[in-house]
Amino acid sequence: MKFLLSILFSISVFAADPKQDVKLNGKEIMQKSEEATRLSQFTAKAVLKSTKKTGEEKSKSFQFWRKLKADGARYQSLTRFSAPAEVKGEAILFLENETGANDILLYLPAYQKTRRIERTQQSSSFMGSDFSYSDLTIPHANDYKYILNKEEVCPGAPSKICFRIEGEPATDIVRDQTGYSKMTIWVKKESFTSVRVENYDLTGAFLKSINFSEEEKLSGGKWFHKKIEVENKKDGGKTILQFSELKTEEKIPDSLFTQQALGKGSR
Amino acid sequence: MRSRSLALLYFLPLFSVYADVPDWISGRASLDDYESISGRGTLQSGFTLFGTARPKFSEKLDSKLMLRGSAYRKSLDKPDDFSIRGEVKEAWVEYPIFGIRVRAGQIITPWGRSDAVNPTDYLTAKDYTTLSIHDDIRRIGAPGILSTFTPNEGTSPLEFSFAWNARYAQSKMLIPASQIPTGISVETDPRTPLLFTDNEEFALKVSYLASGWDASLSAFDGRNHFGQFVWDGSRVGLQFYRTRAIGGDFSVTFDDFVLRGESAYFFYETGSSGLGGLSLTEPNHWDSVLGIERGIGARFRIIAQALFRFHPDLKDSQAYVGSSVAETAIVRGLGRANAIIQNYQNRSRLGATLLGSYESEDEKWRAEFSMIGNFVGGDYVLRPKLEHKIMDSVRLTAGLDYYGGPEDQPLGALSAYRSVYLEGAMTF
Repeated sequence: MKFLLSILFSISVFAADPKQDVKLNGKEIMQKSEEATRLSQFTAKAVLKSTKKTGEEKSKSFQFWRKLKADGARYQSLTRFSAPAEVKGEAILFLENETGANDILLYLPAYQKTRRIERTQQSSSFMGSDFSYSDLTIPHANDYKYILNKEEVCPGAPSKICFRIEGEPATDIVRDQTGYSKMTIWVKKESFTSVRVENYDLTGAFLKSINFSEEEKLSGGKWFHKKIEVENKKDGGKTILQFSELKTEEKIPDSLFTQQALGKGSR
Repeated sequence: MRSRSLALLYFLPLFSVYADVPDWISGRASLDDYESISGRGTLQSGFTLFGTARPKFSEKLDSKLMLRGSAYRKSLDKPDDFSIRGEVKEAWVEYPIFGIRVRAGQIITPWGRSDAVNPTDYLTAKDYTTLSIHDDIRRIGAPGILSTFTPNEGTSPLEFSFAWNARYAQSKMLIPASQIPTGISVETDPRTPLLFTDNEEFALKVSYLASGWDASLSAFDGRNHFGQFVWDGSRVGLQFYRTRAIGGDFSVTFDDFVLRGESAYFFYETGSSGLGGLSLTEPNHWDSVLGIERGIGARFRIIAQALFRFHPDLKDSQAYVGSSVAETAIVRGLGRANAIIQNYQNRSRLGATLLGSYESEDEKWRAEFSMIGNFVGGDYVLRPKLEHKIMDSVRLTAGLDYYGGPEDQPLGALSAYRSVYLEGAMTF
């Protein structure tokens, strides 16, 4: 279900193809959606604001870098926190792998050391928010099996038509990494960008809904969502991930996404 | 707790009002109070300001300054007097030269992947006489150069590191008075060694990062950062013997856990059996750690490690016979003390560490239990603590350091340092 969570950046190449007369199946739609949100690289500032059911709020700020790996399909991401003070300088390196599980490495500035995180923890909370680590990865169409359910009005955007697609992990690895057994995805028909994703936990219970908004079409024809909102249906929590100062032209060196560079620039 | 120290904790939130600092500055202001539960009163009570600045002068020129300043009403160093301590933990600049990142200045280079016990941490030392829940305040670096090279313009999974210290760092140890032979005074705070000459250190490390695992091999030529008691015929001094070591570490990720290991073999200039051929000082040894870490649900985390030390040529220091009865007694006493403090009383020493932590969903409460124990000897230290976040950047921590087991064993000998503590800390 990494899928919808393509949270960070949705973009669409096929946006400008309104005459979708050809019948597409669920996987083809999701492949187009993945392509629509595929930026070869970008960096942005971000704020993660979480609100608990009790009304208590907390906020974390970070700089985010993401770049496509040489295979042109998988991503490498670096997150470096700047606030609050207790996480200042902490950094997370996320390396997607084509085969097997992804690698997550956490840099702890107080110890000047890097620690690996076990694979099953990828489905756990990202820095105390309602996002999981895997929610922050770009979902890959080939990692899921899809069924095109129907076309209907987009949730939250009554003037738009969406494909409603049901999906479930294609492998146990994907299931374990995401912690989701299935998902429902609404993909905008005109742009192939995700509008909403609903995720179900391993028992089949409705767990999270993720809504994408503040859509922006970039100069390369791709789409980017500046705002991604997660609602946890089990505990009533809500987290908003808000991006700003997006830069897509600045060259990001591959050397940034290495364990050696993880602590560089931290305190 | 002393009421004055406790009262000061209320002022931390006020301090936080003024702590709006730029991104490149970070740090911590803390007040702590350690009260003995062995009838020794206050062990430490004071205020510490710990700060780091990371000015980046250009895209290539990086730098770091890490300072610590403490004002103690009481401390282990000065149990009866007010004292002030200040130190430059790190002060370096880094610049790439022909693809090699060269860092020069006062540097802390902590090597090793294990938790708490790191056999391959050759280059740094620790100040165990500062009571603190923060690891960074205890670390002691050294002046020198650290150069790192990652092939393929920094993208290779291989990395080469070379470190040179212009002088070695000295650890400051908790020395149980009960282990010092009666009637003699010992040097516990030796002078800072001179730069260069025989005090230089060299270390090399080759690391490899792969998908799902990483590993490194390392070598070291320098000094033992733990001083050992030696009788020179008229006085007892601390000697930091020249040491060579080879070692390595690794970590592997599995579905539910991470496996980590670290091992090193140490060769001393005093010979394979230690000083005098009778292990009057620490003999050559193999030091290893193997551990697993896993999360249990979203809020619990456990790290369990096995510790193994093996001294193949250990000889009984109590076989020493000197030129007089008095000298024999002193040297045997120092040999016994060294064996306890350096943890080499037996040919094989097997131990374990355990760390369990829980954090509440709102991140306001954090409970942690850690312990280190020796299976040979039966000594241990227990360290439970409870943290409460009273506001966004202010935490209050209460805990216990309990050393137990026989007093002729390394951790049991520290029973005089059993304490409960309270710390208030504000991060910025």
